[in-house]
Parts: sequence; structure tokens; C-alpha cells
Amino acid sequence: MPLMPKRVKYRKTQRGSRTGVASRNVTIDFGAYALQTLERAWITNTQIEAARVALTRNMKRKGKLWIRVFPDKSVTARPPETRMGKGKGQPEYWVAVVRPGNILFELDGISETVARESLRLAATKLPIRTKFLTRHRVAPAAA
Amino acid sequence: MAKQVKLAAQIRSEVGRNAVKKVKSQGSVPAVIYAHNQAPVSLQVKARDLETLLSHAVGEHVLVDLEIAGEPNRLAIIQEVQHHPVTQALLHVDFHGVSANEKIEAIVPVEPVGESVGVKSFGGLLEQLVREITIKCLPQDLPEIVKVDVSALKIGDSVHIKDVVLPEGVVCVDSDVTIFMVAEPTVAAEAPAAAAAAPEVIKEKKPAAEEKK
Repeated sequence: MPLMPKRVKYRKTQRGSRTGVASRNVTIDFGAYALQTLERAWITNTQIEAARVALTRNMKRKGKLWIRVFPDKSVTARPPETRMGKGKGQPEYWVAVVRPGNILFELDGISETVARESLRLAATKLPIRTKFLTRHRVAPAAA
Repeated sequence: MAKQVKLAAQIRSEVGRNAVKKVKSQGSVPAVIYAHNQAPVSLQVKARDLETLLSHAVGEHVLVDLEIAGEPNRLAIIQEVQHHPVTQALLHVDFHGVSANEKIEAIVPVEPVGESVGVKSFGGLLEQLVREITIKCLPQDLPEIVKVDVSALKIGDSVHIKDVVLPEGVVCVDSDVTIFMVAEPTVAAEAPAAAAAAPEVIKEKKPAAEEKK
């Protein structure tokens, strides 16, 4: 099931700002390999879920996975063929706001070759460019 | 034992955002050295020298012999290196001045050696819970890395800091922290495709009648 908050204080949120580069969630804290964003975006909960499924399938359920982003922002949409006015639409889906530098996924317990391929596959499910990172050195490869 | 690497540095007289911008444009990295009973001194080091130093080191907390222009050499340990989150470029370095005959606290990386029995024969997962440990020793005894033999670990076994054999003269600050653990092979069950329910709203809207009052 795609990620979403269990309880929220307010169902609808304003769009907010997503300028600048990330200042938090920018280092590999848990695993040995990671996927880092190079662009800013709203990543939906279904995109995160699709990337997670791609990762776990390629890892053949070995190793350990950390998801470092959570879709805690609701996005509303208006029904089709609706006239303007009558208030804000209903929440349609949930997104995680990511800025360049944010770590999306971390992996451990697998070889670098498998981690690289798994994260490449996961990156194809995401709407932004990403970079593969290892704990000791930064690889220039961009997916 | 960790090598003492020589690093050239210059005293930086101007501080602040604009001065630091100029330093960076000249291919240098702003730095600071501090030590107890001594006033901190702002420095600048060549980015290229620092990159070379860090790329040849295992961890970032390297013991350096700072050759400060116009000053006597100072022994220091790299306390913190700030990187740009996207480009990983060096932004700032903190040097912690140390004395050769005074014990220091330093952070060293921990690495597993060998393949554990639990992973090799039973398909378990070697989890590394701690990547760096804090140790106390004299600067000349500072190890570059602490290697831990995990080849005898079976499923459910773990290695604590107190079990690690450290070189002579080196003491660990923490003692009861788990470093490695061999976990059972997990079969991740596919999450049931339940219908996505809307989250519960903590603050319910007041009924319209109450709002009018």
C-alpha cells in the first residue's frame, strides 16, 4: 500500500516553497549505498511505492532497505468539468517534497553491483534525475 | 597506526561571508583550528591538497601536521569536514589542535573482516549498527581503522564494542554498544493491496451550529 500519514492535523495544505538545496536528510546515515536527488520535485506516494517494489524485486528480498522520504503533503484536485469557485478541491494524493541533495533510499547487506542496478531500476520510477552514492566515495553516475 | 599527514595552511585574517567567497574563488577552503587554552585561529588550506589528503584516508578524522605559514607547525585532528550536499565540494574544515603527549578522543571507522558463518551458510544478514566508534588514546597510537573479525558469527550473534580487540594504548569510550549483528533471513511479505483510506484528521471540524455561537 502506498505510504501516507495515519493522522493529520489538517487535510489540505498550501503548496509551500521548494527553493534551494536540501539541508537535512543529505548524508548516508544507515546503509552503505544510497540514491540522492539532483533535482527538486513532489514525489508521489505511488512513485515511492513503485521504486520500492523495483528495488526489493531486484535485490531478491536480500539486504536491507531504508526509505528516507515520507509523503506527508496532500495535493488536492478539482473534479473534471467543474466550474471555477466553490472552494478548494478534495485531497487526491500525497507527495514528499524533495530538493537537490536529499537521500531517497539507502541499501545495505548486498554487493555494490546489485545495489547499483537496483537503485538504477528504482530511479526509472521517479520523475527526477538521481545519483548513486556509496558511503566512502561519491560516484559520478547519474540515472 | 594512523599516519601524520603534512598539510600546508595560511592564516586567514578576514572572516565573514564575502571574505570566504574570495577564499573559495582562489581554490582554497576556509578552515579553523581550535584547542583547549588557546584562542581559535581562522585558516585557509588549498582545496586540492585537502581533497588528496581525504581521498587517501579511510575516514575523515585524520591526524595532520599543519604547516601554518609564519607559525610553528601544529598537530591537529580533522574534527569536521563540511561538504556541499549535491556537489560534495569541500565547504569548511575544523581542525582540533592536539598535544603529542596528551590523550585525545577521536572517531575512527569500524570495518568487518571475513564472512560470517550465519551469512555464508544460513543466508543471514550482517547488520552494521555502528559505523564509527569514539576512542581515547595518544595521537601516535591513533589507529586509522578498527577491523573486527565477524567470521565466527552465527545467526542471532552480535559483537559489542567491549568485545573488540583494540591496539595497545587505545581505549573505547562507549562499551555497551552493539556494532555488528547477524539477523535472520527475512522474507518480506508483499503488502496487502488494501484500499487507501483517508488519514484521520486530529482536529475535527466543529458542527455548524456551534460555529454560529
